[in-house]
Amino acid sequence: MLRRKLADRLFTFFCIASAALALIPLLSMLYTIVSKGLSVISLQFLTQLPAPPGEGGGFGNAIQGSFIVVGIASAIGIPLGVAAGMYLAEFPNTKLSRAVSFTADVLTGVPSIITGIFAYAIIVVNFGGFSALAGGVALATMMIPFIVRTTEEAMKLVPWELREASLALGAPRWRTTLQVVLSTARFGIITGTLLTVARIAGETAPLLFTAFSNRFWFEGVMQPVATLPVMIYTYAISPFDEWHAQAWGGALVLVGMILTLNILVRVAAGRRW
Amino acid sequence: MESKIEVVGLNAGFGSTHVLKNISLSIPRNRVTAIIGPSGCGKSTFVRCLNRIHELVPGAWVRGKVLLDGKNIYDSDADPVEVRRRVGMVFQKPNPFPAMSIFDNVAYGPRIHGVKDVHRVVEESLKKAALWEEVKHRLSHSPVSLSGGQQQRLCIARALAVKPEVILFDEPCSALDPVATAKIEELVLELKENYTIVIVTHNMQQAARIADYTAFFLMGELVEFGETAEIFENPRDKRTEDYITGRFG
Amino acid sequence: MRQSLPSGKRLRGEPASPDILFQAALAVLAALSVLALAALLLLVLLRDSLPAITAFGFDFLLSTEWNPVAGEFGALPFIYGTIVSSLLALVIGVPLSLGIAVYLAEIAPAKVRAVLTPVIELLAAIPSVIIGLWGIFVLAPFVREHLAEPLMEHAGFLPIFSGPAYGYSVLTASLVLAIMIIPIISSISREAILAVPRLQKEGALALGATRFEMLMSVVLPYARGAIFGAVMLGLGRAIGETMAVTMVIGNSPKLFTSLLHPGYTMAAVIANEFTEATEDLYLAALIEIGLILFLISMLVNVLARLITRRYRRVAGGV
Ligand SMILES: Nc1ncnc2c1ncn2[C@@H]1O[C@H](COP(=O)(O)OP(=O)(O)O)[C@@H](O)[C@H]1O
Ligand SMILES: [Mg+2]
Repeated sequence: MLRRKLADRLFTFFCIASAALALIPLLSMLYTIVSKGLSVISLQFLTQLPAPPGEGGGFGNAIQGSFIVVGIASAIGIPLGVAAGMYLAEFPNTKLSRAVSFTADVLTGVPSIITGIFAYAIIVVNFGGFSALAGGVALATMMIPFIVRTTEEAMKLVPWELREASLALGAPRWRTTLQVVLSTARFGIITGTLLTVARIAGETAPLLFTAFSNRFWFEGVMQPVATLPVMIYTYAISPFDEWHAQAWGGALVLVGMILTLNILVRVAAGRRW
Repeated sequence: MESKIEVVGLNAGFGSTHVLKNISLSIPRNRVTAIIGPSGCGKSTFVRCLNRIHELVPGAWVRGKVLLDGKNIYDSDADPVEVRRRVGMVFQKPNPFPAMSIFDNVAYGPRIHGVKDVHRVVEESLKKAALWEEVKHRLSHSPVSLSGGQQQRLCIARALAVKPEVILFDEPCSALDPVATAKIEELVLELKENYTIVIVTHNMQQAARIADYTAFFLMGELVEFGETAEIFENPRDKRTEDYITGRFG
Repeated sequence: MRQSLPSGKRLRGEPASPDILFQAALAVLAALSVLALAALLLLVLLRDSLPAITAFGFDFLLSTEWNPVAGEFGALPFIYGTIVSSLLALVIGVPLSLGIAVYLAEIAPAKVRAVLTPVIELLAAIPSVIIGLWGIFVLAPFVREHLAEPLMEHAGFLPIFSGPAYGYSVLTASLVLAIMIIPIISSISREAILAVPRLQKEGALALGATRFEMLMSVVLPYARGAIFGAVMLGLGRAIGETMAVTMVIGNSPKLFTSLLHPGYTMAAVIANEFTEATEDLYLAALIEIGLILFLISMLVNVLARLITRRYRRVAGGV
């Protein structure tokens, strides 16, 4: 009996210790980002172009570029993903939909660097070099399977009875799907989409050899463009202390945006459903 | 009695399950016809065959004829969408569209069918469903805030708004309290002036109160059909009598 | 089973209508955005790695020489580094994840649970480049001083802990990976544990089992499929992780034996060298590494999905 009790105690202790241990890196990260980042962030940092070491400068173009590349990715990925998810939710018993569903699941596990190679081969090689578009395509490739899943799940939560109610009024199926099912599921779809956008906004690997980098402001969709994650990476592995400090500033901006979006979405979702 | 719907040799089921077995009956115009019978006997399947909603369930099948004003709704040239507009339906659980306002719920049907004067149709339908006074100041609100009985009347208004000729009610009161139930029953009696009504119920008193005709189903077969008073006071079939007197079901 | 609209052809007698067009349009979009995308991904990787495949054949997988200047390309150090760092991440991360899952599902008071559950999931939202940044400036120095050096001193006789002790090492990379997979594995496992019927748990406790015994005898058999699926998902994530690993593993293409030494992974070499690869064969070799990485992680993911699908009823979905 004593041994059994002891085993139980030890196990309980191990579980509590695991939870505590998992918090340490998270707290350490948040603390370092905030403490090191705050001392760097200023209006100048947020609005200026990068400068050589010793001359200050900022991440303004990278912030701008991130919005543009994520915007391009969303413009491509969201409509395609929602359409595919809608197909899976409304026509689940077809062979095609089983194949799409399984493939989408599997695609969520594609390493992010691979989507970079893909966009490189499709866009960079064929359309005159590194570009914001290539970066957007790489990120869109990452986001599509997640948008498919989130749309499918949200639409499948809509009770079958609502579809019947609409059909019983003499509504055709396409209207039923677009007006009744989609509008009922929209909150879930928007929530999932925003979380996906937040997730890809921090991706670096797909952008390294697609969007590449740029020392200037955005110059057009077919030109290379600076983004926050790539800039943070470049500055982090540089040999300059001043750039290291600026990397932390960039990290604070990026994490701040991503976590804010995450928390807002989750709070709103918690309230609504 | 002039019939609105003539059902001839109707069989229906799901995959290998044969639910409705050779049902024939005629549903009189501008009257209330009740469908009674124990749970699982095929009442819902039956009414869902009358507006071609049944076939939307994967694996569902139908054979036989359903003549609406003499024309078979299962003819290959019949348009199911038009059939569903002419034969409206109110479901067991109130199911207003949660993401639309009260107004838009009622306006949904007329808009689909290209009606011009949507506002007038919405007001008319809500009045006919005896809901107008309760919601006229909050038409833009969500229907989720309405009580169960109000939601069900909203669903009735929604069905009325597409100007159907027949309205099918599938146990419309089973999720409602007695006061709300009384209101719906009163409404059904008013509606029969202008509509042909089929109501599924497993509440015998309800059938006795509001139905002119009653059909008794048992295990997918139509056991007996006739005037309500006849069925309740003078059933011809032993099984009907047993059911009505509460000996099974 | 009333959950789905039927396919268009089932609507008997319905004329070719906007509905048919609607379904067809959605079908085309679904096929394009998912199936065609996946096929294209694979085809592009195959096509662009073909020069390397024809030049090196099977030797590519077994050769340890990676010397682009001399035209020598062998992928083994990267495959090896990926596998070792990912497995080590599981060794570190899985027990902790399960501990967390049990804590959150069974032990924690409701309030702690309500706060801690989303907080740990927050960890999954932090971009890997940020974790890498933290890895460079906080974790790597810490590992060198407080983990690697003591390990070398006290356990250096074991080849896996032999010196010298570096901060940028396989150990650091695995720690970073463990941190990144903990949220995935712990949250799926927690759901699996919560899905075990209350009655079964209480039944075991009523027979006088301790919590530990109850978990081992009732919960584990019930939830192990979902947990195994979660571990596979975590493994898939670790294998494909790029930035955080690149930033701390030291990027040295050798077959290390000591975990305290630098290594290299498939994803990391692509990230580091892709823009430098001016020669066609060099680029093809990198893309072939990408192909191998893609195939391995797809395999792991397919397995994970098959397992979690099978146990979805228990796991409550992923
Ligand atoms: N979607 C379905 N798939 C297979 N069988 C069904 C389905 N819906 C109903 N059934 C079966 O059909 C029979 C009749 O059901 P229903 O018409 O709903 O009965 P009632 O409305 O009289 O309770 C029942 O035995 C039921 O199990
Ligand atoms: Mg029923």
